[in-house]
Amino acid sequence: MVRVMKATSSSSRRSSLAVARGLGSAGSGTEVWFTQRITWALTIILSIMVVFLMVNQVGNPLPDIKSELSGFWSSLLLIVFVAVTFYHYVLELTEVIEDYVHNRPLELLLLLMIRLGFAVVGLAAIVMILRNFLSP
Amino acid sequence: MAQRPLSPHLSVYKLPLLPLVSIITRICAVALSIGILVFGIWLISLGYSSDSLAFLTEILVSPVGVVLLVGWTFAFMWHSANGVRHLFWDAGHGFSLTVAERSGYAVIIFSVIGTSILWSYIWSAL
Repeated sequence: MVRVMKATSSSSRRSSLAVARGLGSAGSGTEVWFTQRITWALTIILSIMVVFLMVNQVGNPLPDIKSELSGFWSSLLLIVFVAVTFYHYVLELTEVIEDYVHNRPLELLLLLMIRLGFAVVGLAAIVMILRNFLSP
Repeated sequence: MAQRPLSPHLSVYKLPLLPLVSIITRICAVALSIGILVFGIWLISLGYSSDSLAFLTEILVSPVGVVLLVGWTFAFMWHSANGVRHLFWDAGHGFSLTVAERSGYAVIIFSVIGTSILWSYIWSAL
């Protein structure tokens, strides 16, 4: 109640409904936007490196590819790649879902499912890259 | 919400270059998010067992798999190129209609040529 009184007196241009809802500037908000841009740049760089890594394996027998990808630098690159790109695609799909899914419960369900799905596959991939590195 | 008829603007609207590039970028993003999950599952099989790795790789190099891989390559080229374009916009450059249209054409040309070069290399390495 005190906060409402304060808001009313300090910002007379806001409607009483806006004041009652308590919506307005949170004093922050560019973090998500900025993180997205950082992951964009990182995703592009890491993806190009992984594309080169994988294209180099074309034509080799599978056991060779498996041992080639078990090296220290390949494993490190793949782990960082999975961590960054999976995060990037969660953000990417979040934007698409928020823009096109107008049914709020379905929207929340989808947002939850992509987080769960990408976390499970991403973590499992990292664990298995480590396993291949430790016992090629 | 009241169910009123919509004006038929969407069915008679000719999509100009800029929104067309924009919507294709989104479609590419969704396609790539599926592709990255498939690559993640392939990486899981890499450490899981040789049999599962061989099984998944077999599927990915089948005709249907190769079509998907070429599609994902194109989506990757397109999405990356347009991502760079967006980073320029975020830095405040290239907003004029002529520059934006030119960079839009650049995205199209880059993804077509990039995909062709990469896959002709893969084909020659097989």
